[in-house]
Amino acid sequence: MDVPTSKSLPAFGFLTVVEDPQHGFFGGYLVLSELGRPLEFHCSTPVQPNQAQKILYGATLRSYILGELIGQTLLATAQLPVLAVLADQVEMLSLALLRPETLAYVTPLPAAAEVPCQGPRPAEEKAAPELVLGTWRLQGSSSCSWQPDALAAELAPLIRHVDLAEPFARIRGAIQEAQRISTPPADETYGSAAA
Amino acid sequence: MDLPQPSILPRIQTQAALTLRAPTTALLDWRLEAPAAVSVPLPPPQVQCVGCVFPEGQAELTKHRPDVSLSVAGLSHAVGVQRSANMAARNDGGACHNTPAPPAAGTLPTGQASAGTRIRPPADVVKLEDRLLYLLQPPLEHIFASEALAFPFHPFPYQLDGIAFLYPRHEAVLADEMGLGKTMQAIVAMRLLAHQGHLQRTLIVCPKPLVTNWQREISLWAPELPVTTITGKQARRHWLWDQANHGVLLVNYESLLRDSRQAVAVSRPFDLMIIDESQRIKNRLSTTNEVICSIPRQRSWALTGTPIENSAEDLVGIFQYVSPGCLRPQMKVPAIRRAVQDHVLRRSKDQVDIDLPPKMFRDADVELSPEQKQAYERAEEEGVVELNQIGSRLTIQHVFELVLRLKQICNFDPVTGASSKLDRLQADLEECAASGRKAIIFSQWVHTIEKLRDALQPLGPLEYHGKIPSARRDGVIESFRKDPTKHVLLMSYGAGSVGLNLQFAGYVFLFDRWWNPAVEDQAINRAHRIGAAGPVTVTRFLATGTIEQRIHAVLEEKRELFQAVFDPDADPTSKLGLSREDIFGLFQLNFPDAADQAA
Repeated sequence: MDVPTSKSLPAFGFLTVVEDPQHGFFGGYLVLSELGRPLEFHCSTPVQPNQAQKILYGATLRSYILGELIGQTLLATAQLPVLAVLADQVEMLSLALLRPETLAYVTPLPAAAEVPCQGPRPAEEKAAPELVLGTWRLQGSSSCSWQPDALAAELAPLIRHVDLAEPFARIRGAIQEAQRISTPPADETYGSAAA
Repeated sequence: MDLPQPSILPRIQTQAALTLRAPTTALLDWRLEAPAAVSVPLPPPQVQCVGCVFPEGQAELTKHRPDVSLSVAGLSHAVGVQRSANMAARNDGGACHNTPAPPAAGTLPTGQASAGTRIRPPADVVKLEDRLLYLLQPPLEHIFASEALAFPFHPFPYQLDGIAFLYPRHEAVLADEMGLGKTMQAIVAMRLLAHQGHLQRTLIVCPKPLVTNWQREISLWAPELPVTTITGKQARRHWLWDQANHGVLLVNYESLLRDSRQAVAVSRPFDLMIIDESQRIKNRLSTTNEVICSIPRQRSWALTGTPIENSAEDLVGIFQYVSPGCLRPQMKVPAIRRAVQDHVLRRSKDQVDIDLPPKMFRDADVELSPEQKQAYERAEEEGVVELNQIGSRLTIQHVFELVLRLKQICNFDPVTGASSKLDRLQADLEECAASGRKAIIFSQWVHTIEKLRDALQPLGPLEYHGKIPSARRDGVIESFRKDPTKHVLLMSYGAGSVGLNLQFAGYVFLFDRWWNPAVEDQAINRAHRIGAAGPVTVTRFLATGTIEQRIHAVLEEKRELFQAVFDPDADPTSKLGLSREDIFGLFQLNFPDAADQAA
């Protein structure tokens, strides 16, 4: 998605990746209105890292695939400008270096207090912005420049109508449907897009 | 490298030592061999995307950024390869493919996708963009919980399922059992569609007694939708047909038939047309069916608690409106079931999780009084003789006439007015009135109702049937609802069996039996429906040893037919329907055509 040049729409992006043990990583990006209605959707074909990539990228592999590869591609494809992009996977925070959008990692508040981060975190984690909004905790990376108060004000109309975890479930359902529909007849030959 | 491999290093040292010991014998190469390089292929990352901007998003985009072309507005044109910016300069290579890999069905984790009531696209929506638009709608629970739309109370989960069923469908039959809230489900689905800009004009067709019920329900569940009721004199009705370009147009079947020319010639098709009690068009050759089917429309929804009243052909008539060509006459039951399964949603009260009070049936088998018995036996004997004398000219109509005559005797003796049923009814009603409860009594004849009215005067009976003017009927219901001295409501099956909400009545009496169980169920469910305060006791009168018992057996056969079509567990090969032979069999008569053919 291009950097908005005019006033941003009251729209919000939701970004997630679904991991399938057989086919790899499927990404999905959903833009919602503040009432929670779908405005735009994009999903990716599966990305399957090969063995060499798994070895060479090591612990950074998920961050690379989810953020740099899938997340960046999806955001670049989208057309509608958004006030913020919310992700439910911490690896997506690596996108903050690559994209201009306001990016936040969303977790339910009680779980965030108990569960440690699942992926690599920037070394300057303590400097990362953080916001508690209702029952949700929103975190940025150290490279994020958003201000908690400003983001809270922008998200306020959204959380009146939308449970912040719910759109990710929609994306997963849509990815499943898109992949089901796009399954060509069995006599053709296919391959995976490789990372 | 910090850790030299011991197996290589000693060998190099040995080679150097050998060379030093023989300096003049040969030209020696003092350079060490370069280590072999192994190339690890790292194909450039390539992610393929499909996607779309939905209509609401397109409108926003055009409004805010008119310079942007909607190059990915449709999924059919949306496929394009996007490279990660930092990898774009690399050469392609390795095992990259432009076609997506097909995932194994069901391998993707659904996560929370099943949480809440989600709108599922119907099978006939094939365009991925359209399917995704439905799938990506928020769960209905969120819509009800949000502040965007106000609703009087939260629907039951099965009602949300019904709304999610109707919402995406252009061709739908909501066939829930009576009392489960079909009207409300249709109104809410209509409201959601209207709020998303899919509906500008809706036509609702219902039986005349239900017009006020629809008005009340719409004001409750979709108060912001303007409703225009087609009523009044011809000139006014025609003016209303011409003027109502927005909102909801509400009309009863009779008015629609009178104004069929205006309805068919509307300037643009209705975005949605709902027909309530759609069994009205079960006869596909009837004028009502013809007019309903000829009204231009985008979406066709039918509501009925009794999609099959007599035979599977009833569904053919309804589907002539809902989805023309989907069903054909003479289709077998399994084929019908397959054809309609994506279009019909049918739930019974037993299937849904609602805390409805129990419905208890009492079969009141009544012995005819001596006077009745004498009159009955004489009438049957003479009637059968007459039928036999008619011979090959005998028709079903002749048989029906005899059945009606006998059933009337089962109610009241034509000479003395004696009635065993009435005696039993009076005893039951006294108990009912003493406990402060209210009762509804159904009969198929107005003159029977009038006799009951006279006999039950101490209980202050109210009447609701074809002789009561429409303008007075709402007042009758309100009086029955609110007046503590009014314990009894006498209704005809024809006028009172559909659409009315009488859940404050605890007793239902079927003074005589209707021809098919669906109509009886409709009548019973006026009282046994959502909001019922307590158990509903249904008393079915049956004169023993009479035609009523034989009809009862026929009714049970019809129930089997219904289950065969809508219950997938039922055995479709079981005997279905009511044949003409069955009707003639009520009096052990031979069907004349068959006899002729045999001859």
